[in-house]
Amino acid sequence: MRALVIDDSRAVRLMLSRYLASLGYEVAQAANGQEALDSLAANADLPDVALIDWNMPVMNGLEFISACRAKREYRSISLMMVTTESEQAQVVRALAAGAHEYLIKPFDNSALSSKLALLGLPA
Amino acid sequence: MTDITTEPPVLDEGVFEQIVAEIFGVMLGFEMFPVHGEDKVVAGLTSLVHITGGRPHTVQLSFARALGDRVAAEMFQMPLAELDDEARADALGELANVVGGGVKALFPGHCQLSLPTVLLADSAPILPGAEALGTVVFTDGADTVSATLWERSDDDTIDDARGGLA
Repeated sequence: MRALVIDDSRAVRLMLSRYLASLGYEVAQAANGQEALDSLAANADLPDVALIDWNMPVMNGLEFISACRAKREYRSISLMMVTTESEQAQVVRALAAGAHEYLIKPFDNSALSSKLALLGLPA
Repeated sequence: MTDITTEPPVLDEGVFEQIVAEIFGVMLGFEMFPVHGEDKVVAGLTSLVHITGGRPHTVQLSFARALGDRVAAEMFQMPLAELDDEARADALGELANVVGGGVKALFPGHCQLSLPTVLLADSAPILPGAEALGTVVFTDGADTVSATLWERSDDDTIDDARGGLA
């Protein structure tokens, strides 16, 4: 299984990557949505899941999800928004844009595992 | 303009304390205790995040250097001796971001969070036109961190009669 962690915080990328690696995922990282799109375009092996922060410079998480959903070849990727944005309206926006799951920061590893399990992924 | 003068206070000191302490616990596994009666901003490393929209506020976390370093070392899982300023800024900025998200969640209406700002010098941030609603100081038994909530007047929907951090 492959995962792509997209967050402008290197600390968050590392914390998520460590946990996902412990679950057996091969993890790639990107610091914003554009970097993630570039990574997807450059790699033949698509991730099974992308964990996406909302507030990032260059391209935010919502824009990334919209761009990802617009490409047929990326539709196999499960998209999980991982963010401090907790307003119900924001959750609805993300899901409407194409996010499959939504996880609000702060969270512990068991919460992340629960969301991965909901997506049918190793948890 | 929306009439917000009749809204009850959305935050009190206890709720703010709870948000900060919970975030330290969940993200870092640090058990932080409020130092009641102490409201002096801690000198050291400071991270800020601004809440914009109907309720312009700023969350400021000011860490004693030793605690700031331990926080960054924990988030990066690296020895203290290997920390650099980029790692400090990244880790402390993310903590402010998450605390800001917790505060923002209690405000009605749509607000947005800025990207975090981090000051690595021992200097207090200057927020023109902002009023400190309250400062809570925490300790883990060794070092301290202060969390301050500012209300800014840079939005015309601000109403002085509205409740804030009590």
